Amino acid sequence: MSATPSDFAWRMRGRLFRAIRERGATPTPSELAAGLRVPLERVTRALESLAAAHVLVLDSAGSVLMAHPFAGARTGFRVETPSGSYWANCAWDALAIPLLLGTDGVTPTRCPGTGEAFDLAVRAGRVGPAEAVVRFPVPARRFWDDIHFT
Amino acid sequence: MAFRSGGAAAAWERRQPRAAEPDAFVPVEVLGRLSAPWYAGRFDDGWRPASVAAKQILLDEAGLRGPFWRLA
Repeated sequence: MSATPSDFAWRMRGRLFRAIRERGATPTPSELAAGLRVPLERVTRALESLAAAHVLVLDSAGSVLMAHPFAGARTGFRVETPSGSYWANCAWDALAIPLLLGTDGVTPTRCPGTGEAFDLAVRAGRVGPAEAVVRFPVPARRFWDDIHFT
Repeated sequence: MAFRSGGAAAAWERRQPRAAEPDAFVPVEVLGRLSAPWYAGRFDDGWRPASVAAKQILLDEAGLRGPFWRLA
Protein backbone atom coordinates (compact mmCIF):
# COMPACT_ATOMS: atom_id res chain seq x y z
CA MET A 1 0.00 0.00 0.00
CA SER A 2 1.43 3.39 -1.00
CA ALA A 3 1.79 6.25 1.44
CA THR A 4 0.33 9.70 1.01
CA PRO A 5 2.64 11.69 -1.30
CA SER A 6 5.45 13.35 0.62
CA ASP A 7 6.77 16.85 0.07
CA PHE A 8 9.53 15.24 -1.96
CA ALA A 9 6.96 13.45 -4.12
CA TRP A 10 5.12 16.68 -4.87
CA ARG A 11 8.35 18.48 -5.77
CA MET A 12 9.37 15.58 -7.97
CA ARG A 13 5.98 15.79 -9.69
CA GLY A 14 6.62 19.44 -10.54
CA ARG A 15 10.03 18.56 -11.91
CA LEU A 16 8.51 15.75 -13.95
CA PHE A 17 5.96 18.05 -15.56
CA ARG A 18 8.56 20.70 -16.37
CA ALA A 19 10.77 18.02 -17.92
CA ILE A 20 7.90 16.91 -20.13
CA ARG A 21 7.27 20.51 -21.16
CA GLU A 22 10.90 21.00 -22.09
CA ARG A 23 11.65 17.63 -23.68
CA GLY A 24 8.32 16.52 -25.05
CA ALA A 25 8.94 13.17 -23.41
CA THR A 26 8.49 11.69 -19.96
CA PRO A 27 11.68 11.13 -17.99
CA THR A 28 12.30 7.62 -16.71
CA PRO A 29 12.47 6.95 -12.98
CA SER A 30 16.24 6.56 -13.34
CA GLU A 31 16.52 9.93 -15.05
CA LEU A 32 14.46 11.52 -12.29
CA ALA A 33 16.66 9.94 -9.65
CA ALA A 34 19.83 11.09 -11.38
CA GLY A 35 18.51 14.61 -11.83
CA LEU A 36 17.46 14.85 -8.21
CA ARG A 37 20.55 13.00 -6.95
CA VAL A 38 18.52 10.60 -4.87
CA PRO A 39 18.34 6.79 -4.86
CA LEU A 40 16.07 5.23 -7.46
CA GLU A 41 14.08 3.58 -4.68
CA ARG A 42 13.05 6.97 -3.34
CA VAL A 43 11.77 8.02 -6.75
CA THR A 44 9.95 4.72 -7.15
CA ARG A 45 8.17 5.14 -3.83
CA ALA A 46 7.26 8.72 -4.67
CA LEU A 47 5.87 7.72 -8.08
CA GLU A 48 3.83 4.94 -6.50
CA SER A 49 2.37 7.32 -3.94
CA LEU A 50 1.43 9.80 -6.66
CA ALA A 51 -0.17 7.02 -8.68
CA ALA A 52 -2.15 5.87 -5.66
CA ALA A 53 -3.38 9.46 -5.26
CA HIS A 54 -4.52 9.48 -8.93
CA VAL A 55 -1.98 12.15 -9.81
CA LEU A 56 -0.10 9.94 -12.29
CA VAL A 57 -0.57 6.58 -13.99
CA LEU A 58 2.35 4.15 -14.09
CA ASP A 59 2.95 1.26 -16.43
CA SER A 60 3.76 -2.26 -15.27
CA ALA A 61 7.46 -1.38 -15.12
CA GLY A 62 6.86 1.63 -12.91
CA SER A 63 7.45 4.31 -15.55
CA VAL A 64 5.04 7.22 -16.01
CA LEU A 65 2.36 6.28 -18.52
CA MET A 66 0.07 9.27 -17.97
CA ALA A 67 0.78 12.67 -16.46
CA HIS A 68 -2.39 14.37 -17.56
CA PRO A 69 -2.71 15.91 -20.03
CA PHE A 70 0.59 14.39 -21.22
CA ALA A 71 1.01 10.76 -22.21
CA GLY A 72 4.22 8.91 -21.50
CA ALA A 73 3.78 6.54 -24.41
CA ARG A 74 2.67 6.72 -28.02
CA THR A 75 -1.06 7.23 -28.45
CA GLY A 76 -3.36 8.19 -31.29
CA PHE A 77 -2.93 11.87 -30.45
CA ARG A 78 0.34 13.58 -31.37
CA VAL A 79 0.22 17.29 -30.57
CA GLU A 80 2.45 19.47 -32.72
CA THR A 81 3.31 22.91 -31.31
CA PRO A 82 5.81 25.57 -32.43
CA SER A 83 8.09 24.55 -29.55
CA GLY A 84 7.84 20.79 -29.82
CA SER A 85 5.66 17.69 -30.03
CA TYR A 86 3.82 15.87 -27.27
CA TRP A 87 1.75 12.73 -26.89
CA ALA A 88 -1.73 13.28 -25.45
CA ASN A 89 -3.87 10.66 -23.71
CA CYS A 90 -7.09 11.54 -25.48
CA ALA A 91 -8.82 14.14 -27.64
CA TRP A 92 -9.50 16.41 -24.66
CA ASP A 93 -5.83 16.29 -23.63
CA ALA A 94 -4.81 17.04 -27.22
CA LEU A 95 -6.65 20.35 -26.85
CA ALA A 96 -5.49 20.91 -23.27
CA ILE A 97 -1.75 20.59 -23.95
CA PRO A 98 -1.41 23.69 -26.16
CA LEU A 99 -3.68 25.62 -23.80
CA LEU A 100 -1.57 24.56 -20.81
CA LEU A 101 1.62 25.52 -22.65
CA GLY A 102 0.14 28.82 -23.82
CA THR A 103 0.87 28.08 -27.42
CA ASP A 104 -0.78 27.03 -30.65
CA GLY A 105 -1.09 23.32 -31.38
CA VAL A 106 -2.41 20.95 -34.00
CA THR A 107 -3.31 17.28 -33.57
CA PRO A 108 -4.15 15.30 -36.72
CA THR A 109 -6.97 12.84 -36.18
CA ARG A 110 -9.70 11.05 -38.09
CA CYS A 111 -13.43 11.23 -37.49
CA PRO A 112 -14.78 7.79 -36.51
CA GLY A 113 -18.14 8.77 -37.97
CA THR A 114 -17.10 9.78 -41.45
CA GLY A 115 -13.50 8.65 -41.80
CA GLU A 116 -12.58 12.24 -42.61
CA ALA A 117 -9.14 13.41 -41.54
CA PHE A 118 -9.11 16.69 -39.66
CA ASP A 119 -7.05 18.62 -37.14
CA LEU A 120 -7.93 19.32 -33.56
CA ALA A 121 -6.42 22.76 -33.28
CA VAL A 122 -5.67 25.53 -30.84
CA ARG A 123 -4.86 28.85 -32.43
CA ALA A 124 -4.48 32.02 -30.39
CA GLY A 125 -6.27 30.34 -27.52
CA ARG A 126 -9.28 29.30 -29.58
CA VAL A 127 -10.05 25.62 -30.13
CA GLY A 128 -11.46 24.08 -33.25
CA PRO A 129 -12.92 23.01 -35.55
CA ALA A 130 -15.87 24.80 -34.00
CA GLU A 131 -18.32 22.03 -34.96
CA ALA A 132 -16.17 19.18 -33.60
CA VAL A 133 -17.27 17.16 -30.57
CA VAL A 134 -15.45 14.74 -28.27
CA ARG A 135 -17.03 11.59 -26.89
CA PHE A 136 -16.47 10.58 -23.28
CA PRO A 137 -16.98 6.81 -22.92
CA VAL A 138 -17.88 6.81 -19.23
CA PRO A 139 -19.47 9.29 -16.81
CA ALA A 140 -17.16 11.66 -14.95
CA ARG A 141 -17.49 9.83 -11.65
CA ARG A 142 -16.05 6.71 -13.31
CA PHE A 143 -13.09 8.32 -15.10
CA TRP A 144 -10.60 6.60 -12.80
CA ASP A 145 -12.33 3.19 -12.74
CA ASP A 146 -10.31 2.30 -15.83
CA ILE A 147 -8.26 5.34 -16.75
CA HIS A 148 -6.67 3.51 -19.69
CA PHE A 149 -10.11 3.12 -21.27
CA THR A 150 -11.30 6.62 -20.37
CA MET B 1 -12.58 10.05 -29.60
CA ALA B 2 -13.08 13.22 -31.65
CA PHE B 3 -15.76 13.70 -34.31
CA ARG B 4 -15.70 16.32 -37.05
CA SER B 5 -19.23 17.43 -36.15
CA GLY B 6 -22.20 16.63 -33.97
CA GLY B 7 -23.92 15.16 -37.02
CA ALA B 8 -21.03 12.79 -37.66
CA ALA B 9 -21.12 11.76 -33.99
CA ALA B 10 -24.88 11.12 -34.16
CA ALA B 11 -24.47 8.98 -37.29
CA TRP B 12 -21.71 6.97 -35.62
CA GLU B 13 -23.82 6.60 -32.48
CA ARG B 14 -26.70 5.07 -34.47
CA ARG B 15 -24.37 2.31 -35.65
CA GLN B 16 -23.32 1.32 -32.15
CA PRO B 17 -24.92 -1.58 -30.29
CA ARG B 18 -25.33 0.51 -27.16
CA ALA B 19 -26.30 4.14 -27.03
CA ALA B 20 -23.99 6.52 -25.23
CA GLU B 21 -25.28 8.26 -22.15
CA PRO B 22 -26.74 11.71 -22.69
CA ASP B 23 -24.12 14.45 -22.47
CA ALA B 24 -21.31 12.07 -23.48
CA PHE B 25 -20.56 14.23 -26.54
CA VAL B 26 -18.98 17.58 -25.73
CA PRO B 27 -18.22 20.45 -28.15
CA VAL B 28 -14.51 21.19 -28.34
CA GLU B 29 -15.23 24.80 -27.44
CA VAL B 30 -16.54 23.63 -24.07
CA LEU B 31 -13.43 21.51 -23.49
CA GLY B 32 -11.27 24.48 -24.36
CA ARG B 33 -13.10 26.52 -21.75
CA LEU B 34 -12.63 23.78 -19.15
CA SER B 35 -8.98 22.99 -19.86
CA ALA B 36 -7.28 26.13 -18.58
CA PRO B 37 -8.72 26.06 -15.05
CA TRP B 38 -8.70 22.23 -14.92
CA TYR B 39 -4.99 21.96 -15.67
CA ALA B 40 -3.83 25.24 -14.13
CA GLY B 41 -0.59 25.15 -12.19
CA ARG B 42 0.58 21.72 -13.33
CA PHE B 43 4.19 22.88 -13.75
CA ASP B 44 4.42 24.27 -10.23
CA ASP B 45 5.89 22.34 -7.31
CA GLY B 46 3.06 23.66 -5.16
CA TRP B 47 0.32 22.18 -7.31
CA ARG B 48 -2.04 19.84 -5.51
CA PRO B 49 -5.14 18.04 -6.85
CA ALA B 50 -8.33 20.02 -6.57
CA SER B 51 -11.04 18.68 -4.31
CA VAL B 52 -14.04 16.92 -5.81
CA ALA B 53 -16.16 19.93 -4.92
CA ALA B 54 -13.75 22.31 -6.63
CA LYS B 55 -13.63 20.13 -9.75
CA GLN B 56 -17.42 20.00 -9.80
CA ILE B 57 -17.53 23.79 -9.84
CA LEU B 58 -15.15 23.85 -12.80
CA LEU B 59 -17.34 21.40 -14.70
CA ASP B 60 -20.45 23.39 -13.87
CA GLU B 61 -18.83 26.66 -14.94
CA ALA B 62 -17.83 25.10 -18.26
CA GLY B 63 -21.44 24.12 -18.81
CA LEU B 64 -20.96 20.41 -18.09
CA ARG B 65 -23.93 19.79 -15.85
CA GLY B 66 -26.30 16.89 -15.37
CA PRO B 67 -25.87 13.34 -14.06
CA PHE B 68 -23.15 12.37 -16.55
CA TRP B 69 -20.89 15.09 -15.14
CA ARG B 70 -21.52 14.54 -11.44
CA LEU B 71 -18.28 13.49 -9.73
CA ALA B 72 -19.91 12.09 -6.61
